[in-house]
Amino acid sequence: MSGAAVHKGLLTRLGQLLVLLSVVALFALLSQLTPRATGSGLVVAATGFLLLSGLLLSELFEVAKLPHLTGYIAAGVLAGPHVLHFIDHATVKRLELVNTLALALIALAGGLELRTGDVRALVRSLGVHTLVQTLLVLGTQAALFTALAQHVNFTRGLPVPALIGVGLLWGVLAVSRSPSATLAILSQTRAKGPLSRFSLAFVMSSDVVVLVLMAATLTLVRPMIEPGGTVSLKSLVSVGHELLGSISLGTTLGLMLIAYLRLVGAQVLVLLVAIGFALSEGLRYLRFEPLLTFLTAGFVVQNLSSQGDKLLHIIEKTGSVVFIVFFATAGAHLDLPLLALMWPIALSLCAGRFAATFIAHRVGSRIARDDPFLTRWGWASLISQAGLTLGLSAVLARAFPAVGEGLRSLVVATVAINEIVGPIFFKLALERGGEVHGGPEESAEVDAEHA
Amino acid sequence: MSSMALLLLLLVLAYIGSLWASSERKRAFGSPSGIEYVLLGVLLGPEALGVLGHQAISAFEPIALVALGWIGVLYGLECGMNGNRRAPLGRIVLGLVLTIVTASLAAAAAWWMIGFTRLAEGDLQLMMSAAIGLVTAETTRHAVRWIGERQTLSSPLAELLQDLSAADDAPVLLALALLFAQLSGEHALHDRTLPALAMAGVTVGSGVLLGCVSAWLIGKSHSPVERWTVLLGAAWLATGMTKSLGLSALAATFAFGLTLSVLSRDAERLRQQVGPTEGAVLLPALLLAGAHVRWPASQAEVALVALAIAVRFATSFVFGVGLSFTRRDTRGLGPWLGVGMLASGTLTMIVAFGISMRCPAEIARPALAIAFVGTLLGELIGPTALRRAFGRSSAPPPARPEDELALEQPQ
Repeated sequence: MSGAAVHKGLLTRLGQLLVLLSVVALFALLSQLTPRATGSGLVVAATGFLLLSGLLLSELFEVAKLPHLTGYIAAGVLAGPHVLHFIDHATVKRLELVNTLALALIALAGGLELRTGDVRALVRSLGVHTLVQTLLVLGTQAALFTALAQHVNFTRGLPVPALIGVGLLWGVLAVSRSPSATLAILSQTRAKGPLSRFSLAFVMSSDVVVLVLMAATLTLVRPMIEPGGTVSLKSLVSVGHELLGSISLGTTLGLMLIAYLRLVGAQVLVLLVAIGFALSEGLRYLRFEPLLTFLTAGFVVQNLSSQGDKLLHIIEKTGSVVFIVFFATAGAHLDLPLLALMWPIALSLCAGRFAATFIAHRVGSRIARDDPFLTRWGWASLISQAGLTLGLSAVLARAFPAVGEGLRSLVVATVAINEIVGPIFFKLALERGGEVHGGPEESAEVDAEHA
Repeated sequence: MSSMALLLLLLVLAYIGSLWASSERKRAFGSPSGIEYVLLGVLLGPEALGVLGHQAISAFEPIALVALGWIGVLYGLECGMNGNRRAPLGRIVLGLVLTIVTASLAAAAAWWMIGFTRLAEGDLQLMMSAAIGLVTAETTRHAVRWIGERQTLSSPLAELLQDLSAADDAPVLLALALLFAQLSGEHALHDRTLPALAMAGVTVGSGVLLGCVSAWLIGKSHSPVERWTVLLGAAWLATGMTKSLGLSALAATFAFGLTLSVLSRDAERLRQQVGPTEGAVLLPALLLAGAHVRWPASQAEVALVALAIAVRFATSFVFGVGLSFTRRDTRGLGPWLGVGMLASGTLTMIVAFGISMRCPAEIARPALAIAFVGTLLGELIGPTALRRAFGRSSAPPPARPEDELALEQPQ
């Protein structure tokens, strides 16, 4: 639900709870009547269920001042294969098609939010924070993982060099953040201010940093983890190709979007859906990075034309639908039994990452001389982790079959915690900073505008 | 054709469709029934060029399903409406009678022909006849609207025809719920057995329940984004649920849309909000419907198709001629009106497509063929005759408020 919280009375909340129970009962009836349902019908029904239950849970969670995103994730967990069993693993997998579109729109909106003026004002701060966060979080998390390795089943008994190698890979994963979670919270709260600007610019740019860092670390640690492995610059070259290709294609797409918006300007949403699906497929074939491509396109449209706000407004109109499906699917993906099994280690690693991120931010802020509010709360947007981290763990699972699968499971467990906790801190920080805008008046305004 | 190429083709059609339905160039091109997109589907499909193979078509079943479900919502929201006003009850009832009579006569003729040619017997004969009845029942709503959008003249005759066809989708779509429930058979719930008729109740009931909760949620919502989320969520839940149970998604979403239209205070706003999506959903659905068309497998099926179309045309022609005698200003237009009534809208192809996605080939093949041939023939002669009839009917009424608004807006 876009816009900031609108005050709703107890009766409305009870009504929402009743509607949620009706929807759950309806889906339960479906599950009873067709216990082994599969196929397109279940995928469509699951999407509808996630949309309605995500919307209602996010509304109900508002009572506890939790972000809507938490409600969306909770809807996915509730419907997923580990709680109500409404949606099985195969259906969750098929819902990933919707995620392709969601990610494209999220990245495009992210690029559109980056204005050169804002970035220029933040460039010193961003540079310092990127350096300090990367070094400190990577170093401490690598050390923490190595120290805890004896308690982790897949690293127990590994020789020390291999242990350090896996620790470094873990460190890189710890540096990654969630652009989608950041954008979802900013979209819900319509926040504007120094913290919003910093968070968006930092999280988006850290995406690029993490990709480069992962490629470099993969190259360096291969001889440490695999006996007989050699240092090869192949993966670095591949990342260079991926980054340059993505930026070039993103720039071209951005310019084409500007031309379309200027010359035609109609049915933009249909065009975006077409681009989101088709280009994402093409990018996968070319092995380019979709997130970076769409981010660049959005950045180009915003900063090389006057069409940026128009495009952003159109994307925001789909915001709620896209975010609910995206995060509810992520919730359904959460492996709760695995989390129950690995929770002591996962929790320790999350706590360590939290502490390192917090300290690194304080240090970075002192060096960059950030304003006091940013110094106090800037870390809050850096806790969330989601798709990018999971994607990188899948890369590791392929690169190092011996330890990769174990590492991936641990990543899934820690992402589950960070994905739930991170948005709560970020929303709290935005509220404390008075950056949250909107409300009933603004919503009504938007309504009138659309009507 | 690969799945990706088909996806791109469908997206291009969705883009064209969204232009087709946009207010500023309202259906500025194309035919009333969108038959050209069906023809494109037939041409690309396995029966002609074979560019769209069976595998590619079936890969897009979820998209087709979502499209059908959404079209059901649109029909439901617009049921009983003529523009921004509710059609008079008397005219609605007359329209319903016409639909039911046409469908019943076509189904009875089909029943006889199926028995005579021994194409099928028993339950299959019954369901084939019912399916054929459903794809012959539609009147000329889209054709009338299409002509109205091209001519500033708005005659009383056009108003009358629009009113008559304002709710004629309802019996077709509700009967579809019965047909699919019959096909779906009994279901077990705990230790109880739900008969087929109860499953028709589940189809309509789930749509009504979701319509009720959506009307309440939309009443409490504060932005169009929230309204979209509720609409899409409820429509997809109804669509997917009924599909999983082997029931009619079109019927469930129609019941959903109709309930919303009746209960929601924001119904008019919802109609304005979702109206422009019609083209974007309809054209890809029509292409896929065309790709599903199969030629009759035997001479008996050819005869069945010919008879059903003949009955449909005869009934509509007689009704059109009869209608011309009911009003002073339409007397003498009998033949033109009779021929004009032969035109079909999009519902015929959409219902046939829904049947083809659910029913066995023995039912699906003739139903789609009848819908395709009937729509094509009706398209060739119907709109031209209707235009003549409108042109000849005297004394155009004062323009409706929305027409005035449309004229005032700068293009």
